[in-house]
Amino acid sequence: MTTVTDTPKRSNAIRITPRTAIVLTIASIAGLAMFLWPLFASPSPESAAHSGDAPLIFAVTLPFVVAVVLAELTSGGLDSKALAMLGVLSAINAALRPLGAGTAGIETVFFMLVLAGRVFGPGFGFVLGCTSLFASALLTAGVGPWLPFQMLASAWVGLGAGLLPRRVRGRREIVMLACYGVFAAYAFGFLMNMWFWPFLADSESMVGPAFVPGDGILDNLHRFFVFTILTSTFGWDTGRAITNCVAIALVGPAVLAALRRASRKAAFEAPIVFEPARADDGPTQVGTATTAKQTKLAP
Amino acid sequence: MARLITALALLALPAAARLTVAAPAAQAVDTSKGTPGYCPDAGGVTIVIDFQELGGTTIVRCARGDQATGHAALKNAGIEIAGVARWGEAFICRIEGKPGANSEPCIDTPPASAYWSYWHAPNGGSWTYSQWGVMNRKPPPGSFEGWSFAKNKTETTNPPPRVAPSRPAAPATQDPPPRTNNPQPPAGNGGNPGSSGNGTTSAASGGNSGKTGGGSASTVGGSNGANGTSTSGTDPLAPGPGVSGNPMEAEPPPAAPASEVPGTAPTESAAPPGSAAPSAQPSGITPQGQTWTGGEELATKKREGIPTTTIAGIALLVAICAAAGFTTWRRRTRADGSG
Amino acid sequence: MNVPHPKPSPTAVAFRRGGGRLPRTVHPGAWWLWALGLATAASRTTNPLLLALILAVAGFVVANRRSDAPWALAFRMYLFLGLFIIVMRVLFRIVFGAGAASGHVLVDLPEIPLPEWAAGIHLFGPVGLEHVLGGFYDGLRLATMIVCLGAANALASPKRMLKAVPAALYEVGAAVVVALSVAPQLIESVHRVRRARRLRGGAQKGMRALRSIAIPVLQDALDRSLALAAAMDSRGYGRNRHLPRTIRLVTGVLTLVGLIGVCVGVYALLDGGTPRYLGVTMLPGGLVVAGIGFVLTGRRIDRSVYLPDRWRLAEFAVAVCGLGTGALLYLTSRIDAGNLYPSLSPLAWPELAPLPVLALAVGVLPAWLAPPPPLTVPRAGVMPPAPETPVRPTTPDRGDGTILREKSVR
Repeated sequence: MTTVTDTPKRSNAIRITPRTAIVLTIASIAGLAMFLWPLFASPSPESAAHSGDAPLIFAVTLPFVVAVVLAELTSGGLDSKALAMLGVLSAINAALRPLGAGTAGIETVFFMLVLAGRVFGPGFGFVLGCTSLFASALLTAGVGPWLPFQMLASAWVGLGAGLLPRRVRGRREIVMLACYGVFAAYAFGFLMNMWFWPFLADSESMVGPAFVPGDGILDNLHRFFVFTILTSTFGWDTGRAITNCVAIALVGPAVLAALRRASRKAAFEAPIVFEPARADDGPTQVGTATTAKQTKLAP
Repeated sequence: MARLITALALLALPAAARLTVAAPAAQAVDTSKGTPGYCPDAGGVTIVIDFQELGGTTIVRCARGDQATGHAALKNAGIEIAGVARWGEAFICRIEGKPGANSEPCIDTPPASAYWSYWHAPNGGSWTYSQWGVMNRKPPPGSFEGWSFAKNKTETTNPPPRVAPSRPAAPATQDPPPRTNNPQPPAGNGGNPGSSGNGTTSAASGGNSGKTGGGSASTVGGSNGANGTSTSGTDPLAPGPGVSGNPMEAEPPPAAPASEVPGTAPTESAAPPGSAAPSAQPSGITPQGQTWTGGEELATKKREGIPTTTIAGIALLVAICAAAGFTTWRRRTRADGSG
Repeated sequence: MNVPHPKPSPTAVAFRRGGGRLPRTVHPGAWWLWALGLATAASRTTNPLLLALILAVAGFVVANRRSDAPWALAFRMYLFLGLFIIVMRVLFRIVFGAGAASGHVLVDLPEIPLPEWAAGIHLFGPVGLEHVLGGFYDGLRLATMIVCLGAANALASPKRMLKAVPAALYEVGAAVVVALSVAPQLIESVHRVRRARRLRGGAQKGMRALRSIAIPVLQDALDRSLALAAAMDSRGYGRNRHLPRTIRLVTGVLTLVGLIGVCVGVYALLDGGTPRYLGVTMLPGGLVVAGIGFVLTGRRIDRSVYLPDRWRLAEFAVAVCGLGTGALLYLTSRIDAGNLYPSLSPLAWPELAPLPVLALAVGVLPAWLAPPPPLTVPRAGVMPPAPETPVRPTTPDRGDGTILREKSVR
């Protein structure tokens, strides 16, 4: 029987091999570029003439990139326990989403995502972010050009939660997760605002918080912040951050305990060993059938 | 849902109602504004439009009186222009209907390989590629504003208009100053509001000096009735434009990326007021052999009222919305009846 | 005795309405292709008349061919979203359009310059009609594209979309299917736990109540997931075809190369310094290469689909109509683009040319070409009145005094 003070072992429901890590990194770079392109768009007329097309092209390209990454993550085979856990946690996230009052109710999704990513590992957190947003979009018929971007951004939140240091436990863990929740809320809001900015304020006027390609990153950033403040999205991000923080602080320990218990029962990384059938196993086997036995490792 | 669509249609009505006042005209020179040919004196601004590869005879027209900006000068000369959907008329995309919609939709700034370059020159001077946008600069009275279509040209090989910027009355012969086109399109029409603000004060002084010169030139301008075959001699106004030219050059040209935003049009008013007796020159050939017209032959009739296709389109729209609304209502009542 | 005519069954009604075709669901891919074709067509023009007609066409097809499921009613939301975008665009132009007024001036608002730290923005100022109309045209184009996607949402069944998931994403698709099935069970689980709490006399409110409800529900759900996993295992889920090492290596290389190509393509698209052909070839090329790796990855899955949705003639017709609309409008923008971009300076009435109208006529055909959707059967409890009883329908009464009134599920 293990005691609580044992060094916690990394429980990876979905393992990340080096090859998967490289694919994830490159796809994240591509995805980040598709989010932050207003800051980097070049001033030359060839690209400025097409900066009207860029959002549309990215809206079509990003789903492909996300699909490729997901295929790569699950290319080692997703065993049924991880799949069932993924499904159920996505359902919980999707059910939590309408409870939030603000921007499409994203607030309440995150704290569950952060906690699950913490327990089940970065790969699982990434896939969970994608599936939760997708399931909730299907449930509410909200499939639109924003969906791949929301999926990728919440997948990053789950991935980051899984990459936090493992050895922290107890109250410090809750504090760390709450801080990460606050940071994730602002980062997600920043990314989604950045995506939406060219749509809302695209070349709106000669002077104004319109995105002006080629004006230098700092200038565009300045404009973007003015836009954020003027449209009070900053307030919604703060609301999201506070919700995350409060939820993790209050419900975090209990939820973490429940998730860890489930993870132990699932024993994701237990190797499957085929043993030859023993003589006293009963009349069910015929011939030299083998039985599969899972050896449970101490969690 | 039908209600929603009708609501949307209703929203468009106030905007549509406003359009009843506008009678759309096709590519045409508005002959009620401006006069064909060079300006007879320093009382107006001469507009030269060189289509280059687009085809079409060069147009020379005069915008009489003081012009607040290059844009105002264009409009007051009766030239038909179209801006881009993105920046409005701060970036001129189409002049007299060229380039056509098939090659340039004018939604966003045109590429550097095909755009209208903006030049200016003092009378008797040489064309300078304009560092400011069409709404950010006040053309001094008596000066020339040039538009030349740059197709597949680099920054250094932009072609100036092929018409010499000197009024036929003025005897001085000079090379056509290269017209400065709008700076690389995204930077078009944009100066920093700050720098243009400085320009306003300094250009105003230039404008005043030009004003005094303008009065003396009226007598000289009136005697010019030649077809442009007379060489442009020394211009009594030469010191004037020179003086007024300096304040303009003194302004630091805004860096191209920084002028990305077409600034709030603080226009340097440079056009001197006062106009002499107009000498209408409908066409001619410059000393360099360039044929030009005053654009009179391009004038077309104006259409009145709403075109028939628009009315047909609106009728079609209402019909489809009504059909969709009817289907939805029928489904709802049927579902209610069977439920 | 008067025998009232028996009410026809909903299937018969749909059969008659559908022109003699049996109602069935159309493959969701066909509807998405149709919607993408319409959205592409909308992106080619800023003519408000044409865009409004595209909106009307989308609305007409949805009104005729959507099913009765709840998610099909989400089309209204997309119309609201489109309206919101248009209003925001126009408002932005009015508020931040200082100094842009030229031509007709609608209203002369005072100009308010903001201090330097706010990026030197000027608010309000005289409001020009052309300027506001430009914002309206822009917003209308974006709203039309989003409403077309909303039409696809309303017409394409999400559950059938999950059936059509490619093999490489099979497990992720299965996870989403689990999520969609479990979500209603979760709600029911919450109700159960709440009832149990009330029976036990738990009276906490607020956050503590949340904890005492949420945690049992969560634990219940997690335990149920493990039971589900055991059930899936016992039914043979998770058979993987063994792929030789070379194939796995090749797919890895293809994926990596494809993604790098996508990165380079994105960079070339944004940076005008690089030659155009680089962006145009690298981005689709990277996607194609990654796609090949994606398809190869899927070969390790050995699955069979129960009652797969087939692509029949109606699906082809629907997809071809949508893509045809996009293609025709693209053609128009190449040969006679005058009416596609009505000029704002000088202000001109938007006009319609015959070719775009033809494109719209092609786009509206799926309202008749697609088979009618299967309508939900009304729940038992409301039957046509029996011949002997009077015609007034009776509402069945439950024993505990509540009157059960059934409505067909919409």
